[in-house]
Amino acid sequence: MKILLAVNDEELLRSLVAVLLHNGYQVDTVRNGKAAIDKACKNIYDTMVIDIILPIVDGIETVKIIRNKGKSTPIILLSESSGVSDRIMGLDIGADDYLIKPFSMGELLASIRARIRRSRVYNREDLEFASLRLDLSEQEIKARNTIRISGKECRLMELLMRNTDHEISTADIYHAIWDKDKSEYTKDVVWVYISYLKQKLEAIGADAEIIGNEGESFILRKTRRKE
Amino acid sequence: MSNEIKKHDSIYGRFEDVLPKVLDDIKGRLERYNENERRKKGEAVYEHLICRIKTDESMREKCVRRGFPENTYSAIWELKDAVGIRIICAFRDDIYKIIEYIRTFSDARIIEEKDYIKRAKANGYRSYHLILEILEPFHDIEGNYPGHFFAEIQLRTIAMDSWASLEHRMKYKKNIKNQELIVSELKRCADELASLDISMQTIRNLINIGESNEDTISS
Repeated sequence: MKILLAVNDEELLRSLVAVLLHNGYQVDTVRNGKAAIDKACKNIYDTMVIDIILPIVDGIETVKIIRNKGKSTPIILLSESSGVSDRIMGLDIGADDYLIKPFSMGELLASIRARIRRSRVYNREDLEFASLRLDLSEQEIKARNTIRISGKECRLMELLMRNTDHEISTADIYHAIWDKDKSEYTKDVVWVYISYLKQKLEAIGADAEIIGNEGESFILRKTRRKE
Repeated sequence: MSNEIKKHDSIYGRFEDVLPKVLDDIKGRLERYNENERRKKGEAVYEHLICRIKTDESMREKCVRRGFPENTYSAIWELKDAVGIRIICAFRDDIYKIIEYIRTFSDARIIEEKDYIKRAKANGYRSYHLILEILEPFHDIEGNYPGHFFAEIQLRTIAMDSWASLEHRMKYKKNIKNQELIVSELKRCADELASLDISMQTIRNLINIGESNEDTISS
């Protein structure tokens, strides 16, 4: 599980990192809103924890920009007790929860667990990219033909379709799909599954293809077909 | 005596004895090709093939269904599937390899082809159909020599074939309950099998790349 932590307060940041690491999360830290947006767009997180008080771009604006870029990762805002209007605005523009400082670490951990649990359930709508459609509930990809895909293929396809604006590294894909299962596979498995999907996209006549070579980064792109 | 009558009754008329020779010619070419590939690369391009001359009865039924008179001309000239060959392959790519081989025949041409693999039928059916027009050392019905004859060739993988034969069996049970559900479930099975076919093809490709890399290293 990977968490983006955007907090400028040195002391708070240090204690949050310690607790999250202790609880088995991987943590990326940033100290301002601009860096948070960059990280959110480049990497894949299970949850983002963002302090409303951030330099350069404040927390509210950061959430807004991340959501505008189509990222549906759960976001937990950290706010001052006085900032009621900030909290309302934060939730309205796409944050999923907020915690008022000072909060207990137990409460933050519970909130993270709840967000991650929930995001797995409600991100179940069909995804579309060019003529390609991924039906998550049926585990099917559709274009000219339809075919069923396996659970792991489906998660990989979903990952690629939710991140069409940037390349995803083999390591990140492995982390997002196989690492969680504590599986015995090595990163080689990523290329095998990418290969399956490359062929399957072609087989259904999709005008989208996965670009990238073995061990490198991958992205879903639109293709022009001769047919 | 009864045999004699039956023979003259055939919708294929004097071509009744010619069509099996056309079939044998095409079948022989495919079998030799398969044997050569097996010897050269250690792997056959197809698993097996089945052939048939369409029975008199079903050819007559087809003439009626398609609005042609029930005669020899319709059976061997208008309808082009009196001679039929079905080739069953282990892997998807082998299908296209065999089609490319058929294209190399200097005395034949593909006059019609339908790729139901790239564009599956609505019910999930997948197969590659083509009509071959081939020259044979017999007079055809128009009096040409060598004569023009036709054959339908269907190519599919083992998975596509097993789906088609199972679906065929179930289709003829009339008045089943939940017809719509059954149809959509059968399609789901076809789509799952198609996915497996591609996974197997991908694994074979990955193995082949691995082997050729090893060859490069060792040489």
